[in-house]
Amino acid sequence: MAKKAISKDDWSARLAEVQVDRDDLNKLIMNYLIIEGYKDAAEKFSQESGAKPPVNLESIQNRMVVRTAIQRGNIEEAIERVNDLNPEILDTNPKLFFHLQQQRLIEYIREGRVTDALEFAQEELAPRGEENPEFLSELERTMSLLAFELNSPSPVSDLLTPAQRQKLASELNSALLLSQSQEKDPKLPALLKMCWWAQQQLDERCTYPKIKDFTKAELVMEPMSTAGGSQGSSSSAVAGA
Amino acid sequence: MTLTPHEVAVSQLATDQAVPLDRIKSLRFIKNNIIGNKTKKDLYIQLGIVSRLQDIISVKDDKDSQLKIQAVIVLGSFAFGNESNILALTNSGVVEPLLNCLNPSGDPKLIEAAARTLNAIYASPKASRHQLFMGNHLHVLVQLLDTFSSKHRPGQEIVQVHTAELVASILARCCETLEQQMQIADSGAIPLLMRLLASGISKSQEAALGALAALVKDNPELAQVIAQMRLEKGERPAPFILRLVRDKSPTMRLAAATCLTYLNRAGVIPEHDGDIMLIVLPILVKMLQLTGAVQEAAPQVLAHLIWESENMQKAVCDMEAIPKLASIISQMDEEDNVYGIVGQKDKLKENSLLALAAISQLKEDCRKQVIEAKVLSHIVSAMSHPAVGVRAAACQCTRSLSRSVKNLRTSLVDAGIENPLFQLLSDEDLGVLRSATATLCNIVLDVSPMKKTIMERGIVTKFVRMISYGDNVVRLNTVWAIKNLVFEAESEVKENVMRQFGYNNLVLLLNDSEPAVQEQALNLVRNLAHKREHDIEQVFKGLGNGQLLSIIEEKLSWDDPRLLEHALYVLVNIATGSEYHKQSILKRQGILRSVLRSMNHESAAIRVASIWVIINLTWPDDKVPHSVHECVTLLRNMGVEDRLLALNADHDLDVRDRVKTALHHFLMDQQQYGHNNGNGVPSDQTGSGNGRHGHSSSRYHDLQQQQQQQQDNSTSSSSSSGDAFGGGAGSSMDTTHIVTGGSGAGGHDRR
Repeated sequence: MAKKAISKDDWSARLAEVQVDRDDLNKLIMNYLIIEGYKDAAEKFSQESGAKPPVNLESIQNRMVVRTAIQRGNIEEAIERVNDLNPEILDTNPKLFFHLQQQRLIEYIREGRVTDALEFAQEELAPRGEENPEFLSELERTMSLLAFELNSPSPVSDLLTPAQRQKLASELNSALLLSQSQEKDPKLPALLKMCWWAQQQLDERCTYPKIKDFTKAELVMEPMSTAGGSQGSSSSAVAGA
Repeated sequence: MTLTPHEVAVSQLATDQAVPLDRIKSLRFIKNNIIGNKTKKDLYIQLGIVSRLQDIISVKDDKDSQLKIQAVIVLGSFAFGNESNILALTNSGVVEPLLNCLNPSGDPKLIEAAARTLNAIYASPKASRHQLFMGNHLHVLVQLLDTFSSKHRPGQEIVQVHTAELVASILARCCETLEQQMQIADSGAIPLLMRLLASGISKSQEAALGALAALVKDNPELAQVIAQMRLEKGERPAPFILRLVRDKSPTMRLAAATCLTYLNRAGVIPEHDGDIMLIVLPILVKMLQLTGAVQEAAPQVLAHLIWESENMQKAVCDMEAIPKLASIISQMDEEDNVYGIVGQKDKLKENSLLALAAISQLKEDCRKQVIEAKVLSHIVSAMSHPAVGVRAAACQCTRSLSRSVKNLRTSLVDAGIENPLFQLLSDEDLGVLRSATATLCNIVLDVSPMKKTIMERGIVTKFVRMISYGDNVVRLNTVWAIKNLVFEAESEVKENVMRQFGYNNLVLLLNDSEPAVQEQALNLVRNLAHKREHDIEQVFKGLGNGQLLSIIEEKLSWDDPRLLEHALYVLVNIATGSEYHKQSILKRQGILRSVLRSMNHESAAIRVASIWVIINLTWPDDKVPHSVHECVTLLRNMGVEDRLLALNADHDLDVRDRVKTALHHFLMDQQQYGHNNGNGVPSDQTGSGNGRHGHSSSRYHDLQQQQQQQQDNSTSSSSSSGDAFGGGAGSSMDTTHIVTGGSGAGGHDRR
């Protein structure tokens, strides 16, 4: 199959013709900073670039406090903050609420407070399981933590890792963002994915300078493949001239 | 006895507590306990918290707004509880003080909290809405929609925007009856909603779309008003909303699609018909593959949009909506089997079934696809679902499917529809009854093997009950079903039915207040009196021949062409009976005059019917030739022959054909007996002349009219003998409303 070949110069020339608006760039960066919760960075960036944050930067602060509380294992505090910010979130998100309660249970177990853990499970988690049977398997998994030694590995020891808290923190952050009617995903990753996908599509049709490392964003000519290669090599020879 | 912390907290709320700060602390404690936690909500309600909260928020002064705010928030959380929680709220009379908290001169944060709580309360259809429309409350609400008002305090913009969104959502939820719609419109809400729509803030736009959709739903007047308005840049709402229907947010797309659907159904945006088909429809179908609230609502909006539209139903079929819906339904059934029916996904099931009912409503291809999707067993089992909405929707499905002749024979029977359908005939819900009786109409058609078995189960007794049920649609469907049941039935079946049903009931129906019911009752008589002299005699005996013909005479004098036509065909059938039967007609001058008059009716169908009467009355019969002659003479003297001669020039082919036959009878008579008309045609002694119909043994039934009417099925195959009229007449049940079987009062679909 004959693939069209585009030279690096040709490619660069075409790229140079594309206009990218500075404002758009700034918006993308601001968008990333805000969603990920880098409040100070967002403020500074706003000052220096003149880009206006689309949301109240206070709201970022609030989200960050919640995130920090969870990362420290202060689930109760996180719940109280969320309820202050928006009392409807946990009432309308049974899964999220269950995960928060589940984390509280994990924290009790981590601290070795077995009786408290059992009481808590009975009073708070069992009713959730009754109301939503689909949570039961996760509940069982968490309960089985009690059967194992805390510091030895077990099939459920992933529940004790920081990654578990991280997961919860992101889940809660997304819910908060949605309630503030913001998107929960920053645009920058989506753009990169698009670029990657576009390159894959293009790969089937021609050879051209690709970006292989997004952080470097260098254009690299691929070595010629053998299939249909003869044409490619001849044209690159021409292009080089 | 030590109190639990919860009891302590509640007692701390008492108004005689000196330190408001403690009360606020208790409120926050309670709040953090109940949010997300259904069991705690129950607990606190039992501890009598609602009245304490009501006391707090009813305090007249503005000092402790923070206290009030927390109390309002706690109340709001109960609104997310189960039904008994919500009832506890509304029964306690807490709505009125909440509405008072909306006072524009108060703390904006309190106003926002009160709006949020009210919005949550109104999410339940059981919460009473009438307080909102009393006093000044509606006026206050509309004021709060105005985010540009100079009355607002600076620095509170975000709070005010949120409040406006919540108010729009409240209006959307309290906009269910025509009266409510008009009251809200009169209060000046619409221009402000338009402004919200154009505000560029997505949540505000979604809320505005919700309110506008609720206002235009089933309300052509308001739909027209809103469709004709102009937004800020002079654009009309519809094209603007068409852009929103392609928004990246699924909730926005749904809100926009819903609004456009109602506008489209009201017929006020015909210029966008193409857009609806090409843009909105596919977007709705794609939503079936999402999850959550959007997936739940989308099928219902879809059903509403495509109802009664062949084009759209076909288009949706082509978009493979049926497999998507089928998989939603069957997946839910699987989950139900694992977890037991928890009831959370009932609405999704109900809406999906409604969508299937709508898709298979008119086109046989679509029905075939539904059968092929292997979802029929789920539909049938849904007919026995505990939730009334699901039952009604499942019944709508079977109704749509039962319009197909082929399906009746095989799939529906095989799927075991008979049992659940029979059960549903005793359902308490009006919507379910309507759908079930409509399905029954089609099930008992001649082509259905179910006809026999359902009779053996005592269906006629149920019929008697449903006649006196007091609902027009149920009564109409029931008569229709009986009519179909006796169509072309054996004499024994007819007698059986009428013995159980009772001729007195038939008379009641013939004199019913609804013309549509009368029409079906006449049809029923027509079918009873069809085919055999014995059958005609039964009807005569049952009704009393005096009464039967008096009724017919009366119907003939009506202006209603449908009644006229059916009454004429009853005569047509009676006229195939014995001499006695024919004479009963001929003795009645009134009837004959009406028949004569009908020969000049503007409708060709009626002209044809009336000529058939003449044909059958004058049918040559070797056994009683003199009677025939008398009849012909009588009619001739009335001017029938002259009228027939004039009709030779009728522009309708059918009419002309019948006229030829009728005139032939007159001609034969003239030939046989001579005629003082001076035509000089020699009489033929044998009387069998050139008449191709001269045999006394000629079978009447070739020319007799019988009627089979299937429930609005213009594609029904006609029955066995010649001139049966394949139905298609009745526009019929539930064409404008999708019956969901909720509270049932006008069969209105309100969610």
